Amino acid sequence: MKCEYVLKKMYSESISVRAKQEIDEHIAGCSYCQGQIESSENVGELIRAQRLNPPAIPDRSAFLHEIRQYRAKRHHNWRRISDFLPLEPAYRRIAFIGAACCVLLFAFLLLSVPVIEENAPVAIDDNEDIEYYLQEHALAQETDLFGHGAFSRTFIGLNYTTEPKIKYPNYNN
Amino acid sequence: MSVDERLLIEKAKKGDRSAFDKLTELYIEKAYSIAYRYTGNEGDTRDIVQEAFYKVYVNLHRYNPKFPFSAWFFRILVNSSINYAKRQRRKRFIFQEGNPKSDINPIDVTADTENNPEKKYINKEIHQLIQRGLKLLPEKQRSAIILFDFEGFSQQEVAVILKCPQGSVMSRLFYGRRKLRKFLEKYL
Repeated sequence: MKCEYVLKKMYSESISVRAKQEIDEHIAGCSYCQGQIESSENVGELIRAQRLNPPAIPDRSAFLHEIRQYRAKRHHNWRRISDFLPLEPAYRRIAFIGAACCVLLFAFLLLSVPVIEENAPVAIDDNEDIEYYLQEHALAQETDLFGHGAFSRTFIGLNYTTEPKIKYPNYNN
Repeated sequence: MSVDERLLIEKAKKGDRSAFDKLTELYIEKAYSIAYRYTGNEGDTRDIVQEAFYKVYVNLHRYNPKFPFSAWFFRILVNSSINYAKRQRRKRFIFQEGNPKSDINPIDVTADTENNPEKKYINKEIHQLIQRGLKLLPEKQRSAIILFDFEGFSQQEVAVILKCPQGSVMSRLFYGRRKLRKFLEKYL
């Protein structure tokens, strides 16, 4: 078994019990692997010695004040409005963003509704509506054999009677 | 987590700023110490700690009381530190050409240094070297070493903070220390 592979798999939790046993046996008899583990422990000890001298905070109370100031500064913009909401702070921002989204949606809907002129012709029934449309689009003249316009032929499909308006001679009689 | 701490968290969640300030006072030393290990200078450390406490304040409603608050807080701090280090790395070249080779035996510096100015000086030099070596390690290995070796968290706690299995923590420690050893061998 190669030493680097052993060291790589040494701490793996996904290996079998047998593989783990083999790794332990290898380490017990291999000076290189033992040396690597020992040197790692030595570096650990060296670093742990530094634990005795943790970095001290220069002017602790001033730093605490700075933290408060920083928090207040970052929070300043949205806090004033959201403080009026009768909610826990945890939900204030969500409620504030939700309300802002609702206002934007309402404004969008308001602007997207078409404005209807007062003097615009208003259709009384379906037929008038269709006629108005045909006139507007100059489709009234494009009639087919049955006397229907392109619009009604394409979109509406109404007034198609079984009897054609043009009478063809009956040659069977 | 003590009962007092739990009460403070509950109050802070409801918007009590003085309760959050007390929480800040409880964690500020440890937070400063961890952030300092990442940056190695006071100015950046202050920025990281401020940012971390602000993130905690804003996201306190997301904290799940089933898990220890300290682990949640330190995870935020570690992530802030890593992000800050990444940003700084883009801005400037961190590694500075350094100390000439010396005859310091690394094991000697673990001895008591309080009354010995020479050893105090050596210890300071070692500390600076380790700090520089740490900056060259990958983020995951560096975090494991800082939390386990420097700050004295248990392997299980480190695993919770870094959100990884305990085996991964041990592996990161092993490889991180090995790289650090190679770096230190150049100077010691």
